[in-house]
Amino acid sequence: MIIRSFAILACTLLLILWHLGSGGDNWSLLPSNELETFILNEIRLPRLLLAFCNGVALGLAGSVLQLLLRNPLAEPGITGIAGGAALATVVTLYWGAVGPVSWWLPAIGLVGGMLTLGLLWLLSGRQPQGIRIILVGVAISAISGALIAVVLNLAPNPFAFQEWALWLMGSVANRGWAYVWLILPLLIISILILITQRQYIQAQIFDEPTVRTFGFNESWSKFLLLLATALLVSASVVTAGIIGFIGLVAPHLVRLLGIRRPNQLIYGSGLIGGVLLVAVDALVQTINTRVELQLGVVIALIGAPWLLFLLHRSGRV
Amino acid sequence: MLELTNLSHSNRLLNISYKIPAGRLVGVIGANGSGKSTLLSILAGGLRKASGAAEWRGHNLLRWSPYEQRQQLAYLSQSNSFHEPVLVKDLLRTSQINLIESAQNLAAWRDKSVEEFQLHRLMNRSITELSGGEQRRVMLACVNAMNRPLILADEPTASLDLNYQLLVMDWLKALSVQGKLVLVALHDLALAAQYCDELMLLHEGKLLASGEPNQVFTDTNLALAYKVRVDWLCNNNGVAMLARRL
Repeated sequence: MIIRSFAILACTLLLILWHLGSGGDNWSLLPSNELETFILNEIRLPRLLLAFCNGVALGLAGSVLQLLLRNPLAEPGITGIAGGAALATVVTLYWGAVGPVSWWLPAIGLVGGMLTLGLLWLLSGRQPQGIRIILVGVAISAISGALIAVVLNLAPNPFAFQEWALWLMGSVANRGWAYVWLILPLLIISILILITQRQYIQAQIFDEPTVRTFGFNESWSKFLLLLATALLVSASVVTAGIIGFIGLVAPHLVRLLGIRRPNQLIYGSGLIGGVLLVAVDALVQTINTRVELQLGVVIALIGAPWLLFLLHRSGRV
Repeated sequence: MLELTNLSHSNRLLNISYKIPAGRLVGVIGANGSGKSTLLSILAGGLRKASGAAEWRGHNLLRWSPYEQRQQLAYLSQSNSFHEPVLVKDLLRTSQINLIESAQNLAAWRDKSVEEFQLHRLMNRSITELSGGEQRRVMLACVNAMNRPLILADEPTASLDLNYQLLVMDWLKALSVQGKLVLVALHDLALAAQYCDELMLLHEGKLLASGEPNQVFTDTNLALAYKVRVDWLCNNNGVAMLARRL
């Protein structure tokens, strides 16, 4: 056990060093002059933390949704919240009086995410069941996806589509500390919510009719869990765009490691999500391409085959 | 004492009124869709928006907070659907969540449940890899581990082999003899006739007949509720039935 922990710790440290050293023409870690110090402190360090926070957020959100909705294929995108946050951001940028570097942009994205949560909750009925939340979420995300396309088509800026196609695929490049300070408090609030709801999360191993008799204030607990997910997903979308698959894959990886208890599954998924995203981001910086690959693209390239493998293992393909 | 007064839920359950003293094993029977599960769900707090009253120990069960309800009743749902590969022992422990009891009591109840449903070999297995019958036994053990005065069991014998069907009915009978009130939805009328102190026969959401099994199982009632004609075969060991469609 101790050996295994050390091995994991060592791998994580190596990963961090790899990530911090990547990005230039040569791999370099220790800054030798003022410029390199600046690059390390203002570009590479925030990028590392932002990637980690995003991975944690998506891992947490994905595992909470899989438990709550009782669906192994649930992932943050399924609630439509990511789409809502993205839509709000796109509309604001092209039709609002807000510049692309303004603090208002992520703030409005968050509001969009929260409004989508409200809509999801409203349309899911008074005693929402997992399957209903999924269907409503899928509908909302289809609508927001279509609306984003419409907005981009009508946008006064002729390059809107190219710009946002890249943004929507997700990246943590060139964000700076401001974005880290944006996602970190939301991450902490969400984790606090998850901690207060740990009993309810633990109870999710039973079927819905049984959980309903376990003495929880069901609607309230469910709403809080969805709120935590919405905060995590919106925070991720406004800081890094839409990064798919991490939320889906992280919980399955944790399950493959033999972790079964719901609360351990959630925090394990958060950690693995964070580490995974840091690794993918380091990979993105290391691979020598003309334009840096988008995170969402690389993760989809790794994540989709992974999903097929899982499906194959469970005998559905 | 559980006293139902004009219990209704949209069009699935209509004006059920009935009084059951504690210490009874009461079978809820009826054709598919007659409202058996609806009745149990309402009492368990799983369906809101029910009208009428269900008086239990001086309180209306329907108006109690979920947490207060939790202290009174244990519910067994109709299907076992498990989606997370958790260990049986974790499931058993989690089934006692939110109960106001000492840790010793809870542990003792768990141990007794493991004994009762012969789960020793299954404790460290994951629930999703067990057979349907084994999963059912785990669920029943969970209900037993809650040790509540009011038991609501929705088809506890479904997917169990003959031996365990009888074991479950014996267990429910024993609980009722201990003074608990056990309400159990059953499809097997022979088991119902053999074990239950009282029966509630539901038909299209209404209480068609109630009372002791021999009062309920009349030819007219069975013809109306199930559209069958039944010949009963009884001896000291139990009850069997031969049914044919009308």
